[in-house]
Amino acid sequence: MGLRRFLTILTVAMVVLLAVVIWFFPSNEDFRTDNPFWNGISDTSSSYRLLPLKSLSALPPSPEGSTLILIPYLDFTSAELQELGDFATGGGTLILADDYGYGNRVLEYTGLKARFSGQTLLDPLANYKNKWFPRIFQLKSSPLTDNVQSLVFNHATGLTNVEAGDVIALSSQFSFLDLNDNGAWDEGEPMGPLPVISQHTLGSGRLILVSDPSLFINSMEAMEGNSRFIQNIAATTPSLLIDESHLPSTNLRVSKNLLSEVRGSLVTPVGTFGLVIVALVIVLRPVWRKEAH
Amino acid sequence: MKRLLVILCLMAVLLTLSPALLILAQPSHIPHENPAAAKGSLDKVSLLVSYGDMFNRAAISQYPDAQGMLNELKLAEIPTNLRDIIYRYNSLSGQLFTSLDDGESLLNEAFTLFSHNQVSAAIQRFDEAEAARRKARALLEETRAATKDIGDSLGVFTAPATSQASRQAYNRLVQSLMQVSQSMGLIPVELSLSITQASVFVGDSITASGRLGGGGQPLPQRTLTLFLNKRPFPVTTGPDGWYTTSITIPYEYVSTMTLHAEYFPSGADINTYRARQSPPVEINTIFYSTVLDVSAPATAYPGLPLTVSGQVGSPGGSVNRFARVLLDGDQLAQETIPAGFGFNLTLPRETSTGRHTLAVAVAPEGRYSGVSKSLTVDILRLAVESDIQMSRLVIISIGLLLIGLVSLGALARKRGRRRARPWIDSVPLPPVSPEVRQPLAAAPAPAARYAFTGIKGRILSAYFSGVKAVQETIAVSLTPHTTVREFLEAAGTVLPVVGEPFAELTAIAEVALYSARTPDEAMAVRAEQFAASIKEELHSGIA
Repeated sequence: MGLRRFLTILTVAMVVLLAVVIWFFPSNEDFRTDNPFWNGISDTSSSYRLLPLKSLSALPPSPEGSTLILIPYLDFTSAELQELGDFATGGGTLILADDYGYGNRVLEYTGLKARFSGQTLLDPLANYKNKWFPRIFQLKSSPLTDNVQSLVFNHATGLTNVEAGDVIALSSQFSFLDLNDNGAWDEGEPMGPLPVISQHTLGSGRLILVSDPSLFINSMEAMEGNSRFIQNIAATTPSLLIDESHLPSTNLRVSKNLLSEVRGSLVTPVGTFGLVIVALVIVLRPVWRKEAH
Repeated sequence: MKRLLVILCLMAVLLTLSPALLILAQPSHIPHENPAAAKGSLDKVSLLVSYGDMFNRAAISQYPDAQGMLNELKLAEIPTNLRDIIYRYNSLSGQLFTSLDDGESLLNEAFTLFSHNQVSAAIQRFDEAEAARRKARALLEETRAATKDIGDSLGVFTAPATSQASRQAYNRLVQSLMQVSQSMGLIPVELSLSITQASVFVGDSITASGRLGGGGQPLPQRTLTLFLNKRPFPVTTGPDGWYTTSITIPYEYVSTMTLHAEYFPSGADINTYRARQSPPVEINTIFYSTVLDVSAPATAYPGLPLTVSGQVGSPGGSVNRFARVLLDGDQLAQETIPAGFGFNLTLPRETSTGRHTLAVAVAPEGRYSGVSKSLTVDILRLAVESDIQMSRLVIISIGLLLIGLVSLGALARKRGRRRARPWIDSVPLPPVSPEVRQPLAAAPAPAARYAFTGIKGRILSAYFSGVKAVQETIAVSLTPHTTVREFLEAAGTVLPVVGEPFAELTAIAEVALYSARTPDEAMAVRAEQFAASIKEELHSGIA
């Protein structure tokens, strides 16, 4: 076999091998329903039949009874904000779980005064393992906190400008917002208790703010009362949705999507026909060459 | 060789995939970490400081607060090797607070009964209070010993380089315990606080009043401090121990504020009465929230106008408001604006390109809260489009003439007009006047500056010699902004006798200059003949 032919075959084999590995390699992106690793939400998704949305335009036109979990790490367009507003005011429940993303864009649009602080909430004492895992045990009685003794957050933030009557959960009095990111409390940094979960009425629907989306991930979901909290959310709705269109994509996902598109085009009649032709050419080429000689 | 190639390719595949394997254990973009891999750490300083704060509250008889703090401290994450000692410490502290609280309650009861002349009942209460106090003293001694054990376990007294902060926190805790001890021998104090209205507008005033007493008696002429959030308001009690004061609610746009009173004994009271803090009172603060809508173009250009407009309003009505426009925190404009506003700005020319944050900040005004809104704006530089027309070869007397149009491209087209600036310049010779037409005027015949070569060179040399002859005769100049055709018209008008040959010469020159057709030998010969004929005619004096 000539060297050139060998290289060609080797290259094709490597490409196929890469494509196979990429296709079957599980997703590793944060908050993805198909990610089985510690930072995915496959467990929550399978336990509560979470329906992922690739676009907010897929929101149900009649949102009554539906609940949407929104983890916004990408910015919104005006049209998307309007869709969210229509969903929440039209009777849906919007759970806005954010820490360092674009949650405040939604809050600005809705006209609420509450905001995500964006600074890290640290609790040096009431925590799990270390101060970046604050424990939340000041829980107001509500359907969301039913049978929940405490929650554990993971690199969370806090809520600001929340009316006392809207607060559902507060951090401990040892907690603080680390404004200068030095890991220690400094004069002027807000100290706890600080609101971390709140509930607001919007039209005929409601908006629930959670200052840490990490409590939904596989490694956090089973901690203390997190599972029960999620269960309480799921219990209030027959249709639990999660928006994936505002989660950043990694190269792996882009590659997977590309392979999916290629596969999609190949399974069409034209694509299949083309594939057959290519296969025939490859197979018959040596025969034609022999005949030519 | 083939085997080596296969190995190299497999290694390349593994290297390609290895980042993906690493991604398994790393977050992709969002800051959270794998709790299973997180390392446990106890913040010793925070633990000691919190215990110190807890005992400080007990020292001023805030036993329920101290107990509440203790309940939260019980939920702290403590390493296994410290759990027993911390558990014991928490248990002792809880019993101490309970005993202190019981003792104080009994003492207050005793004083009340005594003031009502129920002496026997009062004495019984005093005895019970004394028993509770003895128990509290014993618990306090145990707590002091346990505090030292905690200091040993946390390594406060070792490794001096790292325990500076923890040593200070430990000393503070010990000091707090001393204050608890001192307060145990003092008379408990009652301090009440009430306000006239639970809801008030910011900027308005409320009246706060209360009573300070100790041992069943009023404490007159004592100074205590009211704190509205952290703002102090000193006040003095009257002869009957009552105090009253007016407090103006500051212009802070929060929904609630907390007011409480504190009494710290001074002078002779230090060794007699305990410090005391009143229960807090919540005040609902009312204000008009401001709503702001802002719109601005998604793109902007340095040095060009930009309009930022919007609406500002409040439920309490519309008033003119002071507003600022900021770009990445730097102020671009400020003025007092009505409900519907519009800022006409010009971005500084030195503004860098890229994504920037444009913000409109409306300052608070009395009962109206402030508000700000940010937008993202992309600042770009306009691409300049140029359309230059130039002949392949140009005869000039002075310079090389370039005529063209410079436009602002997409922006001009978007705005519906082609804002093009005529651009006339000469390269590399001296610049020429931008005016298209000027009256032809006599000028000295310029010398040829270029050596023309080839057929074209011969044609243009012949043309130039004809021009020179005409210029010398009739003082009509071929200026840089004059076309050869215009010169022909002018010369023909003045010198009709050379009109025809000069027209032929001009036509040949135009072919050489502008035509795609390559001039040949015959044309060069004809041009030379025409030039010679013109010179002969003019020099012979017949014109």
